[in-house]
Amino acid sequence: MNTTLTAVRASRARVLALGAGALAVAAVVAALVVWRSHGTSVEVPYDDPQSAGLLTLCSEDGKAVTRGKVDDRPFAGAVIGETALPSDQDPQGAVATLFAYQPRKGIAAGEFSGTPLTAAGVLVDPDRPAVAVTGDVWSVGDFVTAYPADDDGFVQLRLYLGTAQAGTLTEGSYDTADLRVDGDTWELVRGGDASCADSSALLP
Amino acid sequence: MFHRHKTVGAALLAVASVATLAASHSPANADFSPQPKDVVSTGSDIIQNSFNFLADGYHQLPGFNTAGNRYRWVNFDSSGDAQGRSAFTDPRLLAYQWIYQGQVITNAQYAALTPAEQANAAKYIKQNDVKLLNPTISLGAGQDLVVRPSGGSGGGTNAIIADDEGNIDVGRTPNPLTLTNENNAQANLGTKLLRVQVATDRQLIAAASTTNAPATISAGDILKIYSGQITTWGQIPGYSGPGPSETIIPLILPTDAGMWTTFVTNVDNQNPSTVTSDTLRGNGNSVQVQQNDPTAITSLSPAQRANAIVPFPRGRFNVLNAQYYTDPSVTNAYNLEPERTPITAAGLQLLNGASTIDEPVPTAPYGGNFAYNALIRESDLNSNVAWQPGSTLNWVEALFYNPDGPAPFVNTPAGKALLQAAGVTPDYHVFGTDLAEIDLS
Repeated sequence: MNTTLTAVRASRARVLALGAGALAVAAVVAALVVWRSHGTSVEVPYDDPQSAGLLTLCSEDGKAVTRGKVDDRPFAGAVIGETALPSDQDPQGAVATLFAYQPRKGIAAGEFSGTPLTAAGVLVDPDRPAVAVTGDVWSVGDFVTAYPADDDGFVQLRLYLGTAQAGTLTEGSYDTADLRVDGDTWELVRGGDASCADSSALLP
Repeated sequence: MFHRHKTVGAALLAVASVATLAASHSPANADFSPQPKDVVSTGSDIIQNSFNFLADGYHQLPGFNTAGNRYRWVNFDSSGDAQGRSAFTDPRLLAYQWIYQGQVITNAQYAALTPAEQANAAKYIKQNDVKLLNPTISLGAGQDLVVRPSGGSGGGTNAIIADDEGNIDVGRTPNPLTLTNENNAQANLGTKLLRVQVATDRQLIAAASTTNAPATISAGDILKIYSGQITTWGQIPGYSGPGPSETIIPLILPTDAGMWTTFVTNVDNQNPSTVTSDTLRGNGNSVQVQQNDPTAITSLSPAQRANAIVPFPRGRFNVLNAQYYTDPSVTNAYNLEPERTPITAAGLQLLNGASTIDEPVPTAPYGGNFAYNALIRESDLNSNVAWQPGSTLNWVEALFYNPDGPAPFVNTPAGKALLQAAGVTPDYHVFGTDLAEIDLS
């Protein structure tokens, strides 16, 4: 009897524990969704009026990448944008190229210094631009060595699209992500929430 | 500070979509007066395209300047023509005589002719009187004009060594530096030079697509053809082509053309005897043409075309077929349709075109690699002056050589893609002031 009561109590306790665990997981997932969609409590200390959408960083095995070591190379397997190639542009041979920029206090985003990170990658789906980040691309640490993240640790990523006829579309809109570097780690403070499960299908 | 909302993003997207209609891309390869702290490169014409691509991008491929940084890389073409053709003085301004009934006559004799006879006379000028234009340029905004640094060693190696005013930051050249170059640089500039090789190109023999030439011509036979020992195809050992009795037309390049120097060097390297420029100009059937010009062959009559050969760089051949160049004989005004008519290497082929390895023996097919080099002052590498606002890198570290930091632009994925688009093979090496290659591993 005692044994039975104990077993029932134990079973109830396991159910409660499992329920609490599930709630905790759900809370964490919800928090992650909110965090990824709307950012952490850390505010991005600059505004980029050309930013039209957010970039999602994905690993080569199809998972979202939201943090890493500054020396990770590559720091992600792919970067996916959410803003389609403008409809007036020829999608044949259109490309995406990932750039990194250095926010500086009191400086407009258009005046940030920066550099291309990746080679231009052909768009498989012009509605879902993406580019591969290969092992020879600068690490986050490389970038902040060259362009120190002096504005509270922030680094801005931009995904520029381009076509053979129009060149690189730097004067229109582009998608962005904002990383924050702290010591030897970085985290994605503001990024997209695209599915990474099929990210490899977006790469040539 | 920044709070993003989807509605704002959508509105921005709409605005941006309209803006994209007028979106401009990377700056064109136009002449440009550099501002202070812009990086200026001059020199070799064969290398100018690849450096234009690296600086400004090409089509959908972004270059360094595409990032929109405050200070730019300004790459000057060698002759004032983006296609690398030489410009000449206006022949209408030269002293002339007349040709009448096959005879050269003076202006006084022409004046004595009847109007009907004058109608059959033609103006005549001596080719020797036609000189290179030596176009001028401003190497810095607001500065006086100077003669544009030419191609070859003159505008690359020699110009940067002579540039004690600091107008030229980078010299383009296919040639390695010599000890004399280094000593002169030290004497004139107070610093020696580094050589950064960014790519490798290869010079081969071009022939018409329909040709009497064999599939490959050995370096030994090229020497014999250009020196005049072989004048017909059938004299080439083992020849089994369609025109054994046809006379070979070896096209030669101006002696001051960089590709002629490369040709002489390559033929010399592949043959045991000493080969000079004069050696290779000894065939009486030679015809001089401009370097890197596909029309040198394609503009010939079909009969001549089938027998013509010319040394030609593979990078230029590849870029021609990418339709980068314009046929100026078809389109003479941008405001007339078509805006441009691309010129290609159609009608040309490269013999042994896929080869990559130099074989210094006369029995091997003719071919020789040459480097795309950037010459840079050592003092610029050692400078503590950061280039772009906020950056820690000086311009050498940002663009060409960064011994202790992240890869310079020319050796990044974006840079290498541009070199490939320029038809050459990215191939990164750095040579120190002692001329020895620096181990980058």
